[in-house]
Amino acid sequence: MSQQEERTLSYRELFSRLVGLIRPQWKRAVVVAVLLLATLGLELSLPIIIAGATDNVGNIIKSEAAQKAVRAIAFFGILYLVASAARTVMMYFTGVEQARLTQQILWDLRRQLYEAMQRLSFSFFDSAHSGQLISRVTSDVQRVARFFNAAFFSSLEAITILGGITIYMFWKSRLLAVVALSTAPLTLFIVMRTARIMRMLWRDARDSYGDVTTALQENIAGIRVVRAFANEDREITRFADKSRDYVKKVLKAVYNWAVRIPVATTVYSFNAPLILFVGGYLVIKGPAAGGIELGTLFAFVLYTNNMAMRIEMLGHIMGSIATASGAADRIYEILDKKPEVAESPRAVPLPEGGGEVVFQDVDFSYVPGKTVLKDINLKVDPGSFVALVGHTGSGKTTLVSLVPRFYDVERGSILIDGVDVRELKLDSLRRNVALIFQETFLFSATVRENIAYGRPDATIEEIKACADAAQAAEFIEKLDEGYDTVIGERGVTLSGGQRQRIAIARAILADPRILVMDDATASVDSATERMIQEALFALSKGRTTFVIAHRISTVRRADMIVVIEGGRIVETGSHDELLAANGVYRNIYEVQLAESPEDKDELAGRGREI
Amino acid sequence: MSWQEEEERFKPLNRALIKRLADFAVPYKWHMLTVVVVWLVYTVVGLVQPDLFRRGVDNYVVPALKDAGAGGVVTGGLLVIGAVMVGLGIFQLILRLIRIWIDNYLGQWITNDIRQAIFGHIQVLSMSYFDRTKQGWIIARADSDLDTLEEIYTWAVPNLAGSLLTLVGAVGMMVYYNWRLAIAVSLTLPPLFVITYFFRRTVANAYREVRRTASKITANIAESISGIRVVQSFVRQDRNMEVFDELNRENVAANIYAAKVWQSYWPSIGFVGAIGTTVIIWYGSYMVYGGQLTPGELFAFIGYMGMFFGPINMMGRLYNTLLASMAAAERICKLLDTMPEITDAPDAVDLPRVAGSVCFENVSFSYDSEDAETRHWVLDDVSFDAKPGQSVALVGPTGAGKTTIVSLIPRFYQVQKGRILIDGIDVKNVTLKSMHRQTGIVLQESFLFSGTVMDNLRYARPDASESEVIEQSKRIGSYDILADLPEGFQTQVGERGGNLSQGQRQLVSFTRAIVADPRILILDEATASVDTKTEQALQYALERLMERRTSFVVAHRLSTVRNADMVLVIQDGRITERGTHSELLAADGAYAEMYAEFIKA
Repeated sequence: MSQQEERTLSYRELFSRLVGLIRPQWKRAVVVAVLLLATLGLELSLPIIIAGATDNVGNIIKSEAAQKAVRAIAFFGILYLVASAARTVMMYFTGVEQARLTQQILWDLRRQLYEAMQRLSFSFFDSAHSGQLISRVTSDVQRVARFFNAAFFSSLEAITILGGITIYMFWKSRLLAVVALSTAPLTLFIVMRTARIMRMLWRDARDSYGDVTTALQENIAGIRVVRAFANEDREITRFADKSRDYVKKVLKAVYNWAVRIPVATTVYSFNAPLILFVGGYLVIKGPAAGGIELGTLFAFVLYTNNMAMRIEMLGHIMGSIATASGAADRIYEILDKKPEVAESPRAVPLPEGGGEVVFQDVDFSYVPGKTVLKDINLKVDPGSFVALVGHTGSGKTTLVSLVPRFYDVERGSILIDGVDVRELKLDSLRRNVALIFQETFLFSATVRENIAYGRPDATIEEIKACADAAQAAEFIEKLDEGYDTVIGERGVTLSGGQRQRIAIARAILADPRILVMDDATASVDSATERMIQEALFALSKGRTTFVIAHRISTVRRADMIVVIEGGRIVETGSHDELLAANGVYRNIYEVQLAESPEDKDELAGRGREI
Repeated sequence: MSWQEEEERFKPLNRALIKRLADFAVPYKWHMLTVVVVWLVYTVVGLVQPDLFRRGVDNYVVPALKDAGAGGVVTGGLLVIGAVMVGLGIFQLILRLIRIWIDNYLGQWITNDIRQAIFGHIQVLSMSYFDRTKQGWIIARADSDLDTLEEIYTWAVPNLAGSLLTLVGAVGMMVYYNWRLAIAVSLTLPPLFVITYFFRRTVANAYREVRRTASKITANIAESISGIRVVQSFVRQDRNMEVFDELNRENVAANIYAAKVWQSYWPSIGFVGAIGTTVIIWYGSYMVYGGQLTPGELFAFIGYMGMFFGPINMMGRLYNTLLASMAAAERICKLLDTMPEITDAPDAVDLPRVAGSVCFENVSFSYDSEDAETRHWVLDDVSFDAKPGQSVALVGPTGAGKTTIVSLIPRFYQVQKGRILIDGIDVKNVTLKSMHRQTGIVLQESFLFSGTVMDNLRYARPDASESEVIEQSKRIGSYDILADLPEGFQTQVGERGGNLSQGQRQLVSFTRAIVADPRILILDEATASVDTKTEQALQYALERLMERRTSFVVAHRLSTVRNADMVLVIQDGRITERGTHSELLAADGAYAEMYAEFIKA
């Protein structure tokens, strides 16, 4: 948390960037500012009108031209009503126009963020936390919006009102103005300071609340473990401690708020009796002797109340500027991020070809200095089936991620049908490479939309054909609404095997030239597993296929087996060749792949003691 | 909160629910009473101020205006009034501190009680409840719904008392000064109420739409980010942008509409107020002219008129909060009222330390416990007898009922027919906790709690000493790998530091189980592929773990099946074959077939 709140942009930079956001909307911004000033003018005029009426009440008391005074009061009454009505109408337009402007800016900002996120490279998402990314588009954007209102309009409003009132006061009576404003600086100081302290205290409370939610969420997610170890009582105590800790932190913040803000308003309100006292004296002296009219005193009282409101508002403005700067930092961190994999301006579409893939002297690392792949040289013929074998972490997944250019190589190059991937249009490259991941991701949409994900214009016949080829048609038709059943997080839950077959259908429909897949199947029974395998092999026909192999049956089908260890290709060849070579492959085969007696017999038959 | 839930954020007032909400406040009734009293005193002090102002004007300013010679008396009198005002100001400040403090104290501690009630209740709910209910739904009860309720306890009730008194007091003072003018001014009250009532509903609906569209955006972003790899591989960026633009536009439109509604509300209220003020100026000054009203009273009228808006706005807000809290309270109560399907029998006894024999006698089980007619039997007449210390492997296709069988042993679910005996005692007749202390479970997905590795290892036995844990870890062969972690046994795991590999997590969960030292072990073997070194460590650990205790393994590794004392083949909820690996192979039945398929793969 504290890390997040760290500010890297100075207020000036921040301000100029946010001005940059408002610039395309400058016409609307001017309209809003004019409307706002007009509304404020009307608002400021109201106490003056009342003062005019009150002056005449004073005249009635002094029995000076009482008849005329009553007529004047009636006039001021009408004026007050008209000004109020005008203000009502203006407030409406100002508020609505201001909302339009803010929303337009928000819209832009959210859109930019979304676009940036879609474009960013995999390396960014590898290290980012998805929950945090989401909150940037939602709550951080909201905070920036609040900042806009605070920095531009609320401060314009506060400053105009404070300035207007100050001018009026000094114009009417310098002495009374000094008295009325005497408590303002101290109040302002307390309010600003409180805003800062509160921010820290609330942050503490929020963090503590995070602990409460985490404890609850963990408890539910691990409920079986909790029960099986009979640990309910301890969980309850632990949770109670956290919840109590949170309550204490909130109350601490509230206590600070409760003490500081009333102190501020009370300090401020000390000027009310002073105004009454000094003002009363001035009224008695009368305007002729350098004093004031009764109405002026009344206007002072009304304005003083208004001022108190605006000072409190300034405290809020300071608060929202501070939180917005943190939020804006996080937003600009994303917007400023250059995708590491960027399309070259001279990029061309992938030319016709059979799907030949060549790795030339490729080195790669995720973090500079920590080489993951080294000296990779590999030529894969069009349409051939390549199995990648090696221990976890040896670099198999990295190697295949380079083909659709999810990452850029550090040295060397990768050629598809003779063209370096860095010279290809990303769209065209990725449309021709399909991936089937170990963890199948499906979207909250219908089965049909999920299968047609790569080609939204596909006809239902095409979709059905692909589902059929992926051995998925049967179970899809059994779903309540068939192809129109909503699946994914907010829909019908599918088993791991079913999800995988939908992913395969999705890849078949995309009709890629090159296919990359991970053959680890989630826990499914052997019949389903065979179906998935068959679907995969059907899919691989006529395409260059890379498989991260976990199964002996996959490896046996391969035209070429590539054994990777420590980021290097250590062996290549067919199953039989590699077994005979008696190297790394044979070792992996023995401990990891071979589990059946037949396989072991096979090894034994080759003259090795097991 | 999901957007489906947004739809039903408001519910009509419901007496029974209000009573339940009040019940939560009962333990704090003295606090409640105090805060109401503080509010009332505070309000009265507020009501005195315009009257003081009136005294200042009528008693000192007016005589001075009429007679310039009264200067000394006037200055002295104003000084007294000024001093009283400062005194009242300080008094009001103290009351305000007390009020804010108790308000929040109440709100926070009452919601804390409810939060703990929810958590405590979750601990007794049966497993079937968690199968049916999404985790997010439960969390939202203790999160957003409690937030809504907190508002009621924090400010709503005491505020209502204060608001009502302010309104009544202000009107009362006006009537006391001059009943004619008071009636004229009070004519603005009905329109104020009507406008507030009308707009409150509309505003609430408008903001509900804003939140609904906003949560749709969130859902869309969440999905785009978690599926980013698929998005980029299938080059869907442009199309996704269109969808996002549409959602974004909906949200903007909802926001602008809400602004329109809101911006009509406040100014309208202000305008009605302006009419009231105009009436005071006209009619009031006319009466001042006629001598029926003093100038001070005229000013005090304007002051009291200003007190109308706060309370009316408050009452509108209160009404909304109450409506919103009905839906929240209903959902919270629904959770709290869910009866656990499995509870200790009234005469349940603690299970003594067992040897570990487990016997299923004609057990049939279905997950839908309610409707006996349409029931789909997941297990059908399952019987077996595991001797103490035996290892039992369960094999069979997905969905055959293997996991269900092992979930019944610790009585996570209630069987409908037959019974399950541990050491000859029916599990229905023993307390759940005493039984759970003797059962250990290792899930396929190793679930670790946030904390250090050591915390996790000690999860079941917090009293275990560190050296004891390390000794067990050495025995099971996990010591080298765990000690090798960045900070050894003190490495943070779980949400905050999920940096352990699958294999390492499994090792932690195996070690946790051996530290717990259960008599009966239930294990769902993980299928994730791990590197050779970890795999060997896991195999070794598994063998140690199963030593000297009865164990049930939903098996995926061939080696586990081969080493088991008894293999149960489960198909369609029935045990179709049983025996050792070699016996079953010799029998040449379903198992032999499955085995052949397994090794062919």
